[in-house]
Amino acid sequence: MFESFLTYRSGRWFWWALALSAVSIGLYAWHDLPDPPNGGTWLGYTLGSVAAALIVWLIWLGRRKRDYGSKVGTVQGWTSAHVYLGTALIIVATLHTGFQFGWNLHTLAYTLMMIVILSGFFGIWAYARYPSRMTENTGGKSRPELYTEVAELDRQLQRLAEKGGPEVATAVASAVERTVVGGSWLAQLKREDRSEVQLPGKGLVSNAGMAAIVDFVIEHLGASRDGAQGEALRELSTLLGNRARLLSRIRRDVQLVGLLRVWLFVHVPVAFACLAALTAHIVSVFIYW
Amino acid sequence: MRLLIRTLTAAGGAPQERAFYGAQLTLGRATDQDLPLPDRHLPLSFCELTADGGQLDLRVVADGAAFVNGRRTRGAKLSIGDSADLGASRLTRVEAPADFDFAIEFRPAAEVGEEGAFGSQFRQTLELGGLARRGPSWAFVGLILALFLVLPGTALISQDAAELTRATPLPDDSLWSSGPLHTSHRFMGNDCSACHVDAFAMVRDQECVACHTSMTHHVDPAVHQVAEIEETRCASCHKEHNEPSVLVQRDQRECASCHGNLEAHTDGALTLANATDFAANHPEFKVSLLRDTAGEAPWTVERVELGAPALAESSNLLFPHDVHLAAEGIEGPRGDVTLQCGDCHQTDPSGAYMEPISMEQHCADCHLLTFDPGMPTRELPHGEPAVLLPILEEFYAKQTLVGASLEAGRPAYDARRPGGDTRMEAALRQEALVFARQQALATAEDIFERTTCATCHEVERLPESDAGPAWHVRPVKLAKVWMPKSFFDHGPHENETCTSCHAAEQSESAADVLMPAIDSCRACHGGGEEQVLLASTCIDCHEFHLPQHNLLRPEVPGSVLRSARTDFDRQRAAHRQAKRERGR
Repeated sequence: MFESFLTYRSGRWFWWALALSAVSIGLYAWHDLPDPPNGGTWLGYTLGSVAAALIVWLIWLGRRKRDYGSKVGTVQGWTSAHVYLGTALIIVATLHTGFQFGWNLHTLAYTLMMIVILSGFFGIWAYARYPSRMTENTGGKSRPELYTEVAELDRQLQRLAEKGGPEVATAVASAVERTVVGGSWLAQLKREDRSEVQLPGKGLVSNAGMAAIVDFVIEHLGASRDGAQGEALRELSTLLGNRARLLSRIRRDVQLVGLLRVWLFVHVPVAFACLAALTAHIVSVFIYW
Repeated sequence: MRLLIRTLTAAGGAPQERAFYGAQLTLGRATDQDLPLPDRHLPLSFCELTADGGQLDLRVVADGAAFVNGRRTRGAKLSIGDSADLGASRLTRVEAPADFDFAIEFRPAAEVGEEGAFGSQFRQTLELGGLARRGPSWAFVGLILALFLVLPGTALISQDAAELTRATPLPDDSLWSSGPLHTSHRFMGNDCSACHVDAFAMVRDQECVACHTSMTHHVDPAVHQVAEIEETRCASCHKEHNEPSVLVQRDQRECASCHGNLEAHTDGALTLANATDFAANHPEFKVSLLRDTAGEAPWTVERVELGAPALAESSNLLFPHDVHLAAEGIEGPRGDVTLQCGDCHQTDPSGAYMEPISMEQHCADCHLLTFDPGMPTRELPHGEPAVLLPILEEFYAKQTLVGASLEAGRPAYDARRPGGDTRMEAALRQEALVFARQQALATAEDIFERTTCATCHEVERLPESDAGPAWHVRPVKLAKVWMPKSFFDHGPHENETCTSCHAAEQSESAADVLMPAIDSCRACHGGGEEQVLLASTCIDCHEFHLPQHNLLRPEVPGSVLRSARTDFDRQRAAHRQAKRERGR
């Protein structure tokens, strides 16, 4: 994916974007008007129109990629153009401002546009960085496969826990059912483990990393005089450790998927904010012409 | 209550029965529930069954709902035969056997596929974690349009709305300002409508000339119809809201666009030479020379290029600068004096131009108008040649009749000899008067034709008439401004010597025009794009709005000078008045 959309058709859109940027910079350097550079000169209007058209088209990608029947290019091609022309937009729009900024609607529109583009850069970086880490983390397994492993572990845990005595069985069952993966988006991104366990005498305590339940089992192991029970508890603690590692890997997977996608929740809403500000910018500029 | 729970196994084996005794049966995913629901989609504690008289009451205690007989509910009374779906598990009330108040049949969710479903209980996507795209997108769009377009836009609807938004922290139309106003316009504050009168229309010239009442045309539209100028708005050149704020364009390209080829732009109506750059393409200066035509309008102005053969001032004055500026000095009535340029040429209070030269102020100290060596304090009046002969006659008549030397009191002809007869007295007096007239004529001829007047003036002797000889002193008129089509400020040039531009020390004649030619200026001043010398553009010397033209009144085509206020002025005044009254 990463290789493909950036190098789509030998980076065709890279060259288009470069050409657009070069022409914009060239015109800006060449045009020498009596007044300070400004969006209202002929070049200002030209660059502004190009930038506005680009913004609308870039936002249209969101529509196009859901339009499975469309024959207008491939989504991959669109993505490639989206990335490169979106980057060129920095040049075109900045030259349109004539480097005049202020506390006004116009600079707001520009700022929102820059946030969108920079969040897009984060997206490209994320797509370059995280997929390989995800594969590395899960060993190529899908998340349902990992959860099937967890379920398998849980079945073993249940059998062993019954041999460990009723207290242990209840505690292990509690640890299993109060296992939490994910949570709020922040918890997902921070890989928080909000698992809990109901322990006799202690009540509901945090079971992050299965630590509390493992400690509880080991406590019982220490107190155990029964050989068979001791063996079951030992095995139980090992299995709980495995479960903790497995869940940790799932949480890491949740985190990586979150990191891979979180920029979209900035990119998309701010893009629409930018579109609204752009509309207000164009309308207001011509209201007070 | 006494409750029998009959659990059906998924494999279809024999049902397992157990009894429950208690006030309420808790159901949920947690193992501490009275009836655990092995369904990962359900909350740890989901619902409760309580006995309510003869009824069995189901109440959902967490988020979500149960489906009783297929209908979604959060609480229901279960009659015999009613079944409630709790997630994928089903609970059916059945006839209670003896010793039990109630009986339920419980079919737990199928365990098949539970492994894959295990993970589905968690919020593992950002969307489930509280992030969204669609909602915030719409919210942003609404918020931005409301704050930055709709609210500021109320200013267009009414003046009251405009003033309300501007006076409060509400977003107003100042958010639309693309940059600060020039300092000279800041007094308008945030009243956008002071200039932006109509929405979606460019700022009109009316709003400019409402304040700039004395602004004049560049080309008199009555004389030359130049489309480029008539179709150009004030704001085309005077651009506001820029940073850096430059209201007056120094750039000369706008000028050059017409003045590079004036003939084409004026259909040959103008004889003005083309100019595009002071260094590269500018004609030699022309001076406005005064010509004595001796007609009814005695002085006419002739524009002559510096260096042209016809270049000669004809002020009718005789004045050699070189003599006056001689380093060794010049003979004056009180001995030799060495003159400096500044002794006669002084700047006006603005420091820009030179005050006019006058005889009384600048010449009379040396050029005494004495006429009789015996009477060195007696001077003739200046500027009135017609009265000089009578004055001289009177002077000499008195001298002959009263005394040769008035100071000594001794008459040249003693007309009052004791015992003398009156005939003799009359004859002597007559003789004295004749003598006086001769003396006066001789003196007049001397000063008009050789000395006092003739030193500086061109004097012609008129044909002799009955009244005797008469002279005509040709009137003197000096140019006040040599180059009226540009402006020049002596002030910034004060570190230069006068003679570095004006070759006065070599000038032997008043006919010499001592204005410097363009090359003299070009020694320091370069063109508009000059990198080394002082970059000088058109408006460094030339005005755009020429004072000799009519006032700009854009609502009147052809710009008619109007003393009355325009309709726009009146509207504006009425608006201000209304505003003041509201403020009271």
